[in-house]
Amino acid sequence: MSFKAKTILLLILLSLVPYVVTMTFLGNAYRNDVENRLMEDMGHQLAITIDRLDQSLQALQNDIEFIASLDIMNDVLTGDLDRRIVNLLLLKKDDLALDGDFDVVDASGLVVASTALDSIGSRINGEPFMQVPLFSTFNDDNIGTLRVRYEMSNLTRYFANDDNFRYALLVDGERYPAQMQSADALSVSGVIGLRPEIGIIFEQNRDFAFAVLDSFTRSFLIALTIGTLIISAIAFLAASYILRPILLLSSTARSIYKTHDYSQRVRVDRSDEIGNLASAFNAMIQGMQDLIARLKEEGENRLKLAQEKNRAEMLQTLSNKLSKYLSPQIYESIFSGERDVKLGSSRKKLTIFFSDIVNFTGTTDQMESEDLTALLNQYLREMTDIALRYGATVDKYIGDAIMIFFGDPHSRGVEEDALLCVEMSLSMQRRVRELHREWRAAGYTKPFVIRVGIHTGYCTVGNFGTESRMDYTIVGSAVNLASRIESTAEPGTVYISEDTYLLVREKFASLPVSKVTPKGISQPVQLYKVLMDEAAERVKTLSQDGFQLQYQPELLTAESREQLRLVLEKITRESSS
Amino acid sequence: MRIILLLLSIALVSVAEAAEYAVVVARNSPIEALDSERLRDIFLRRRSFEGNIPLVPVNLLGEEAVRTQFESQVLQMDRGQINQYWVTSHFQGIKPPATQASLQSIKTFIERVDGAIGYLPISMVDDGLKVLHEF
Repeated sequence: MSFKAKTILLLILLSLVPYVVTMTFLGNAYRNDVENRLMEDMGHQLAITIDRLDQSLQALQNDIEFIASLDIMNDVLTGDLDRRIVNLLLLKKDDLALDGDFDVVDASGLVVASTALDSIGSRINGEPFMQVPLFSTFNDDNIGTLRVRYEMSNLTRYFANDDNFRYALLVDGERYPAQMQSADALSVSGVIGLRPEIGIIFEQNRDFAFAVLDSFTRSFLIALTIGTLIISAIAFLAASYILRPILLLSSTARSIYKTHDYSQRVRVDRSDEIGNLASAFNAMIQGMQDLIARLKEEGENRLKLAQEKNRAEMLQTLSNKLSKYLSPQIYESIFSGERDVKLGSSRKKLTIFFSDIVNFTGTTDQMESEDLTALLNQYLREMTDIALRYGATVDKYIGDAIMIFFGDPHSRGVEEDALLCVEMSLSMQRRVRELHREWRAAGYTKPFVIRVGIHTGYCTVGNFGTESRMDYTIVGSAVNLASRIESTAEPGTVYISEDTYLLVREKFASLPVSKVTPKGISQPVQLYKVLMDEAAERVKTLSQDGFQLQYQPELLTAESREQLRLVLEKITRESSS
Repeated sequence: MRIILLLLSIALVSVAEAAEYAVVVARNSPIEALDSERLRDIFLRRRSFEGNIPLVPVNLLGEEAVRTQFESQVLQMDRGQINQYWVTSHFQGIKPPATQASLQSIKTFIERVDGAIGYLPISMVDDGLKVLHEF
């Protein structure tokens, strides 16, 4: 059962309680009271009627006693020859309008006078209804009896019976008037005072008796019905008035739940508790709306952040991946925004480095491809690590060959770049020699031997290719020369061009080796082999203004010493002259 | 008026002289004879017994000739005197004699009531009655 139904029911019940109490009172207590009063009233009426009947009977008694006392009754002695008694009785019967007859019986029991003329001369037996003795007026002898034959109609004529009120006499079980006793009637009874053998009943139709009460009850019921309807209507309206905001709250809450539209509000223009409830509800929804908006905004922000983060992470991952294909310097300069990723180039003096594995194909032919890959990768990784340590820009890997340059995007100066490059190369060679031991231990009998060529010269550096596919690299004859130098170098050595030599000779001991003539260059280029470690230490260098002398004492033969002496004498002689 | 009454009384006396009426009792009555004085006392209810015999005088109702003559000759009173007498006597508890409405009923009364005494025309007297006085 809904609250609304309960409220309506409660209101109706509360309204009906007074009615029900009143109806119960009317239906029981008041009805009994009314019945008692009616019975009492009927008792009074019956007493009055009995009194009247008593008076009537008493009057009759008085009448016949008076008649009996008249001198004329002496005529009984003569057999009423003169019919004076008969005439008197007839007059009296008429006068009394008696239903019945007077009889005068003499001492012998013979009817001498009667209002029923047929009876004269006959004898009557049995007890009359009423009788008085006759005495002669002259000597008080009993000369006969005046008897009354009496019909009950003489008494019932006093009864104004109708459908609702009924009197009846009860004589020897007979009812006068002979009508059926009503089963549903109020009834009082009594006896006639002068004639206790005559019972009298007074009945009143119960319907009639309670007609007023019933009518009142009916009217009351109609009023009650109308009242109930009105009360029900009022209860309904009241319940609706009370519950409308609550239903509105409920429907709004449901609507909000279904539609997720938190802009909905309950409109209740009331200042009572329900109005407060509605305001609180609205405030709560407002709070929820704000909260949801905030959460939504936060969620969007988070999503955006997450997306951005994802993107950034992806970019980071991508860039990390890409960085593997790029030299860190290039990578950093691109990703730090220092360098635009667009086609374009500039001329710079760079130190270019090339290296490759001597007889790579021959060395690797007998190796399994997995071993080859592992070795090659290890080699390249090691070399690249060294290159990066020295701040080199690893341009590209060409098979087993590595192309590196110094001077772009960051340059420490041409000389410093060259120095770093040479130092890096020596480090690489040393590392490869170290690796030889590892590889041998690992079972590789033919370890890699690398050769390095370095040249310092002007190159064009920049992005080459198309907008959709470009490559950061260097081009120029210097590059070709560096490559040429490398291919010329002995295995396990570092060859540098003269241009580079001039920049590093202070630091690194080098011996001039062969000359090469690059394509497109008419002059042959002097190459130098950078001496490594002990070999370098063994080389003595004398360097003064105007000359530089390098020599390795233990390698000097007598012939070469003589040659040196002759050269120095000649130089000294020539310069002094 | 007095003259008329006087003339009338004379006429009545003259009728009485013819002795048309008789005072009678029942044949079986022990009373044999009564003089006027006695009759007068009996009918004025001054005397109720004759010896041990109760007496029941009976008058004829109305103003029949027989009664008028009886009153004038036996009682020696006219109707006014008689009425006066009974009015007075009534207060003394003395009631006038019984009455009967007809001569026939007087006759029957006398025959049936013990001690009854009345007057009738002589012509009506038969064996059932005994004449005590004529007038």
